[in-house]
Amino acid sequence: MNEHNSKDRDVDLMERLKNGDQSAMQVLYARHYQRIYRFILRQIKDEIMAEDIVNEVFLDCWRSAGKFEGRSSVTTWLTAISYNKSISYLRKRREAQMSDGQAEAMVDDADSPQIELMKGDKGDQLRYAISKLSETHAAVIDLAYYHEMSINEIAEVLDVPANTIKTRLFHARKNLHEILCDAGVDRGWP
Amino acid sequence: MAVKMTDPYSKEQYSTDKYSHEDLVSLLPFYLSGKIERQDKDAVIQWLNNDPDASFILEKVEAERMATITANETLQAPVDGLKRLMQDVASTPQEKSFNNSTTNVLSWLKEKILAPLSAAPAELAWGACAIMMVISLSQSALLYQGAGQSQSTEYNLASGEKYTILSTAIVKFADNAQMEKVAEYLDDTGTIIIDGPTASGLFVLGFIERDDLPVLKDRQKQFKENSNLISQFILKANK
Repeated sequence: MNEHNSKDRDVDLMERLKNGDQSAMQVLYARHYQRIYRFILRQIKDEIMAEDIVNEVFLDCWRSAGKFEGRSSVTTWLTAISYNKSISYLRKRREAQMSDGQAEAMVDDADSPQIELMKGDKGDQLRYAISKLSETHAAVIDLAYYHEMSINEIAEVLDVPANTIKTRLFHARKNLHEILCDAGVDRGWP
Repeated sequence: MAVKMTDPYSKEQYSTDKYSHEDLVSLLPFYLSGKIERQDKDAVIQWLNNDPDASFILEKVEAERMATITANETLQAPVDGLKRLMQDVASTPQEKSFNNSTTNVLSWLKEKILAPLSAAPAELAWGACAIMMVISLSQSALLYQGAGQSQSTEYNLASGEKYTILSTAIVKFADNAQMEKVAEYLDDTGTIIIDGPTASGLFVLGFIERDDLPVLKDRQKQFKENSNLISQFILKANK
């Protein structure tokens, strides 16, 4: 199915959802849940919570299907809901950690970056470095590289101007370079 | 596009009048995915053709892309999520869309008023169209009271949506009121057309129950004072 047909199919499903068709929800879920789960899990890095948030995203989609006006694609819409919920969860988690005094006690018990990076090939090194990016940078990297969204689509998901996306992506890649350099892997910049 | 091409062995980076070196580097992921504007794509291609360093950067971006794809593909979502979701869906009511009601009113007005006119006026002369609308209304009611609801304030729209009417008012829209503005205003104030127009262009409006709006009295006042859209406003007793 090409991309255009896929978008049409999503719009049809949203129309059915607006009319309360629960079977449309099943199809929409089957089409998007894997991608949405991955996006959320890569943001929050907690499998149990990622499952909960995926459920919330689709439940929101069901609840407010009538508000979907088709200005953006269903994929962009769902991803934007996912991003907002992930950021909201991370914010609450940080606040809870701060109030519990956990922030200072948090220690990274994994191997040091350098040891970890030296263990693998170039792909492993890059994956490790990507996993060390901030949520903001990780989001833009995932949306551009894996979800293959355009600049405007990413801008819509993250709710920032399109020019910010280019700058953010540039700095995300620069951070990636610095993480690798810190671990003794210099692949040159940019 | 003027290209600021420099000695490839110098430290100065390739750029053009429209694209900085940073811009071009940032466009590479989109160039690889094909999700790129034509103009941006042309600039990237020109860069790749003119700057020997560009293909090395592209190679690095491609490696990052592959690493990101692999990192994502190794994550598998649990398979029992759908069952849980469907249980939640079954017990979760859907929200009414008031944006849709605007669209509905708007398309109804367009269908009933503008469609029969060969040249649609930019501004709607409500009085002039009134007789035509009466004929249309007799054939197709926008809103009707449901069976057994004669004493009730709950109305069903033809689309199946239910509304509780808090109070009604008789209004006449200003002659120069634009149809889009009227439909938008009705939605913003939580108001729907119940009946009308009469031969003199009067409509019966209902103020519906909606949690996100100010109290009824304030809404009625706001409506009465909107002289841009409303030329006459007669409030009927609140329920």
